[in-house]
Amino acid sequence: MEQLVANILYSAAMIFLVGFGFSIIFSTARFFHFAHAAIITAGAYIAFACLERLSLPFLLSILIGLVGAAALGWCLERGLYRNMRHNSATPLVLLLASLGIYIVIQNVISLAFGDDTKVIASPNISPSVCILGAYFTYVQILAVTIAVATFLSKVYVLDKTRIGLALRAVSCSPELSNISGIDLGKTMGFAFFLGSFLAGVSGILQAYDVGMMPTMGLPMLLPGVVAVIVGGNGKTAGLLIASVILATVQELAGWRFGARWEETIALLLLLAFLMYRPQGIMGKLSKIATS
Amino acid sequence: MEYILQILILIGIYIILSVSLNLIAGYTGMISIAHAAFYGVGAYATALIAIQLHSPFLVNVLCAFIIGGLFGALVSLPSLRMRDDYLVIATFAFQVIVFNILNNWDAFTGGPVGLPSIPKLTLLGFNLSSHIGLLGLVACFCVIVFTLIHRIVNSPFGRVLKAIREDEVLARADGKNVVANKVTVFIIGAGMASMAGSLYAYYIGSVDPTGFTVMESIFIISIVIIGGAGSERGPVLGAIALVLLPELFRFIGLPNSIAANMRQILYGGLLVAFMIWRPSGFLGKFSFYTKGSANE
Repeated sequence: MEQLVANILYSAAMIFLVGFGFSIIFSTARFFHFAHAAIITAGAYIAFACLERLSLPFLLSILIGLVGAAALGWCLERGLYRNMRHNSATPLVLLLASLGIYIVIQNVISLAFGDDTKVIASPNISPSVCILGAYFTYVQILAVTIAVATFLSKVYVLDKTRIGLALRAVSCSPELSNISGIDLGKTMGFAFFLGSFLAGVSGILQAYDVGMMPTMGLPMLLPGVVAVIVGGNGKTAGLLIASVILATVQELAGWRFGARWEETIALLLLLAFLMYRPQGIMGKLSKIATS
Repeated sequence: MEYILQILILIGIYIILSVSLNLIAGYTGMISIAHAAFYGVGAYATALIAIQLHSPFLVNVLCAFIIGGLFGALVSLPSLRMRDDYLVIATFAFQVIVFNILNNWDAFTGGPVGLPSIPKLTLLGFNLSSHIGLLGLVACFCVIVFTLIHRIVNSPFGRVLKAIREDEVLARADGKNVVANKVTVFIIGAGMASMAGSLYAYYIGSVDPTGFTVMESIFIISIVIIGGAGSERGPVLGAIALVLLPELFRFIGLPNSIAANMRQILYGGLLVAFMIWRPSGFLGKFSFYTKGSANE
């Protein structure tokens, strides 16, 4: 029982991290940036490459992985999506393009590193820690901590800093923000940079705890997307609640029916919300209509 | 020679798949990445019925069409409430759910291993299980499906579909029963994809889930987009091009392990390129950039 709660906690933390990164991009750029899954994978593999191929120190490799993922996301925005946006691409077209990008990046990683499961190995071997009757690995505790820290810092970054204000303005209305003097290009770039940075965090955490494969991105992204939609557009508190709900539903279903059905349950939840409550738990219907 | 026959069979199957998806996506404007789910449902339905009941080929194909059509009706429900990118997400979810069911419901679908040894295909007493026979059958189905689509698209029903694509609200205001039309077109498109699945099951001789993943769905919609959505011949050209091009990799000596990845990079890259520069595809009449068509 305690282990179930522990699993839910860890699962919710991971879902929240992926979902939050995705939602920063989604609410600002207003399309489903599926290539986010590839960024998650890329972050893990860049760190891996630094660690194993270039034999760089552990922390430096992680850092390069994170910055690499963020930079990759930023390049996608700057090099691709911005041009498409200037040619008045609809969200549908951007979605399809990002699907194509995901395929290309995933296969490039597959070619470069092979399809087998790899791990990011730390210099120390850390045993499981037992807290209140449930077992956590060190990485899982780290994941939960990072998730909580991200959520708390969101309040500071997004609500108090100028760039946070810009992000929120653009996600509310790009045209009005532009007229008000907010630099759309810079804000979009920053959104992608920040979101992709978080994607890198998720990827590296996953690689560290469980391992990584070139196809790891999509199964990680899907629950994040579900949480974003279930949580409601633009509300991070909603995302947090939705992450916990989704993690609970998934873990319970997995415990009852077997872990292989977790993804199906998550997607059934997604379909139910898309059909009957597209604004999610805490969102407003009017916001969707403006797209 | 065998190799050429196999390529031609695959081209035929993908022509059926892309032409049927074109009906849903290109003519009615509902982009769907659930098509591999219908494809898989048809293949599995055929396999199950053929293995359990040893029924004749035409019965199996008919059953596959019906079951696929039912799944199509199911997928049409989200399309009544969502459009464009949200519909893509819904169909994406549906595709992954179906794949997971095929992959995980061991008792019914054989799980990741699938269902082996489908009985050989005999039609009217002729044993058609050789590749030449199968190619002839696939070609017949191609012609039938293509002709059907041609008739549908140039009929009043087809015009309503295009109207839905151009301006759904206007179509509804004009009194067209948009709901019935959307459900119908999904049933027809899904049923045809399931028939392609039937043929595929007989071609391979067994079914397993790996041929019906999300990537397969994306491949099929890429064919439709690159070939040209909303035109009759576009998907045919797309199917021929996207099945043949990766085979060229084999001729320039790429090892098999790399070839699979290169194939995906090819159509992923083409998808991005066409989305940037020519979203209506080679022969297409429907650009997804604005509601409404590019050239008409």
